[in-house]
Amino acid sequence: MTTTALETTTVLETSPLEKVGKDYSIEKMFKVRGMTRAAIHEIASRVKPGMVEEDAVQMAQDILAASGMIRGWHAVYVRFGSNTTKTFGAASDPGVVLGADDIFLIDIGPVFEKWEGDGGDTFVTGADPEKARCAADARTLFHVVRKKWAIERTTGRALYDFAVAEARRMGWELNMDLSGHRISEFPHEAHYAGSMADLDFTPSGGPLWVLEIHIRHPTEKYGAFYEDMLLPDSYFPGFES
Amino acid sequence: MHGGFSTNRLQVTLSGLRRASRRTLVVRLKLPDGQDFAYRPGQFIGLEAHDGRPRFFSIANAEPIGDELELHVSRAPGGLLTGALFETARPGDRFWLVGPFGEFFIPPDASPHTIVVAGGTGFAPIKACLERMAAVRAGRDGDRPLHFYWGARSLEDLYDIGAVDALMERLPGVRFTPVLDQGHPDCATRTGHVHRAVVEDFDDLSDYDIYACGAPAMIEALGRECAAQRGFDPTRLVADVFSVGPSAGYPGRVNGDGPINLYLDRTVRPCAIPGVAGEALMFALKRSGVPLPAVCGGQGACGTCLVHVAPAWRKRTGQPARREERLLRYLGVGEGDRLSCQIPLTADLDGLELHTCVETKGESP
Repeated sequence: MTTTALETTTVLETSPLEKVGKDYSIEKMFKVRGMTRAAIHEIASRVKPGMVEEDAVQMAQDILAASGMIRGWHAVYVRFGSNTTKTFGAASDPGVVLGADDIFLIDIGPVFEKWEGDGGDTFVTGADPEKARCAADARTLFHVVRKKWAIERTTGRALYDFAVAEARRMGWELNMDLSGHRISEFPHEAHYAGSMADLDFTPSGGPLWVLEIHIRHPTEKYGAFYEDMLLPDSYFPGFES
Repeated sequence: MHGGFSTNRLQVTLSGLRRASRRTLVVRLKLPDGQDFAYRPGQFIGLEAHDGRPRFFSIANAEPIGDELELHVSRAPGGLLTGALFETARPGDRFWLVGPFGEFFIPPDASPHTIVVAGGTGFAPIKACLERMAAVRAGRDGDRPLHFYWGARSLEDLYDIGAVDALMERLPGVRFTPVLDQGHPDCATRTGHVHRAVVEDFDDLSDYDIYACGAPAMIEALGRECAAQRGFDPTRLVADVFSVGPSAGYPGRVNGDGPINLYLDRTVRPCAIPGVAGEALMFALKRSGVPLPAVCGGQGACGTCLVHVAPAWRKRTGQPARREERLLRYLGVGEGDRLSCQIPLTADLDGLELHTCVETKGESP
């Protein structure tokens, strides 16, 4: 896997919504992506049953700060149990303690120097098969949707229509409040602050867009989240066609 | 304690629009699926317009109805958001909501010496509070007296009289007095200023509590004339002031509620910026057009809402929490520089002196 050049070699600016600033750097964007994924896994490795969610958030902030990612373009979220159903930006119910057979998600949007990262993942603490399936399905759905984009060059809107249907088929409800967005040099809001699900064109395969999948159980109080850059298979070891 | 002050920022969906009068819309907003949104009747929320600045509206229902919040919106002249709601908004449109804010509240066990005054869409938070009162009193204490005055321009501007009827059925002790600016030929409704009606109806207000929601001029006149002419104690006025202007002071600020005057670069900008108790300083500044990016929406993460607090005010704004302190150090800012999203406004910050702050890290937008 290369981290310095795209499979398509160039970022095609097909829309003003895909503009980048003078500080934008593909190489740096991939560097922050790597740092983001590593931070998610380090945070997850230190989350233990019995921990209070607020302590986990503080621990995650400390881990990011120690990696030079003190600033974030959004808040750090580590959500436990029923708080995994909360949508982006919503305050968690306070004082939730992670159980032995529980589920938790991580959603971070760090800024390293001038460049934004963004990523999320979900983990389980025990053997609850449904929670494990939920976490796994968020990851699976991310890649199913990503592959549809890679193969069919689907528009952002059609991509999320597909994601909603696929989530339902898997037995989950997709939270469309988290429906993809731009990423770039900080802050991407200067270029486009809207969601990928509103795009009537095919998002480019550069490190320009983030694909988000937040699924929730239709009746139970838990859900799962997975998020990474929208990239071809070669950037996801094990997912090459 | 875990780091600082945070506010909900949620994407909500417009689920209903009803033209309740020529000047008033009843708006329904659907909360995100599965999302609990805790608020107290009497509180208000901000809806971000296309310029990224929030406009504030009281919540009109005591509890979400099927995950929906109800707002009563009157059109602001040239208003970006209210103009859009009146002209182009359609169910399904999405908005960013921030909040809830504010401390206005009518306690369900309010004494029989309670007067409630609404001006125009100031009915919204009162409706929410009275709904809560009706639920709490439920058949026990519903006949306890409560005097409710609703002032409006014309008969049609009493846009939700059905809701008043429903409340009076549940709270038979409510004595309702509508007061119109303009009389109606088929209706014997009182006319004139609503605050004058209160003064006319009571000889002695020395033992009364007054709860009022509406425009600053109405609130100010109500407090002033009731105190001057009927012995009313102005500290017993609890008010929710709409459309606060640069110098909209009013007597009897209770519970820290009401406009808190903030001064940014006072030598070049002498007018006060109005803030509201309970909101973060950042929201008050953005609402008044101060160009703070506030990329993270007030979560204390992005460092793009910096202000410099004048030395005399630093004790009252408090010390930054650990996470804010770390971000400030990273940004390389100076002593007294703070993230405005991490300073909650309280009544004792009235008069707060601030200066524009420039991040030295050179990475800000």
